[in-house]
Amino acid sequence: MISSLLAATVAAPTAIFAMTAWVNLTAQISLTVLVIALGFAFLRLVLGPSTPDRVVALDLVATLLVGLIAVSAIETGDVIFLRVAMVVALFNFIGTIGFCWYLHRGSHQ
Amino acid sequence: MNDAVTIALLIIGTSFASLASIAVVRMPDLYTRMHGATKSATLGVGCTILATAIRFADMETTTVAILVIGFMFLTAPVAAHMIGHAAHRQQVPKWTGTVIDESPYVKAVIDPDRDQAERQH
Repeated sequence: MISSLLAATVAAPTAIFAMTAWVNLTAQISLTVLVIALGFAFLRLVLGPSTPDRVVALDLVATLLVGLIAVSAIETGDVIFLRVAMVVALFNFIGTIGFCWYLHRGSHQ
Repeated sequence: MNDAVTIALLIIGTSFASLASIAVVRMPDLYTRMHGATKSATLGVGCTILATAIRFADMETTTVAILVIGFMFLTAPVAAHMIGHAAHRQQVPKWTGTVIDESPYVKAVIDPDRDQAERQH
């Protein structure tokens, strides 16, 4: 990746190709950082002392997944991934509301 | 120009998203964790999707991106409010440095005698 970036930077006659290579590099670094962030969110999902903690962690995992899909749309150059992100955001909301409904019901007993 | 804006938005969005996950691990309390996770992650992911829209720069991508951003900015506060309400009702323990709890709901439902006594004084 680094060598191809250097080749693009050196060999490209205009600055546009070089900038495209930089966008790809930034997208790959962003993917790495977002996966590390997902790992932290999963850590709270495992550790969380109470059930609402785990619901917050699951919400964060799904939100970070939307960002991950958007960055992978940039990285692969495929627009269709953005629809996947939209569906994930929808199901994230429905899932969180469902968990909260069960939390409300459980507190009555 | 397009690519520079894309790179800047990607870096900003990724920074905010990773800040949110660090807040979820490091904060002492459910409510402070939720404070960090909801707002910061929504802003970060919104910046990332905006970067996608600017990168591809055509009509349908921009429409879908605006749709996703609007939906996330609408639903994230609602979901956070639901989680906070359920947790407060379950009496999830607060941080020891908590100063004030203004919600009258738990006092009135869980402990009615003490609530009556406090109201009379």
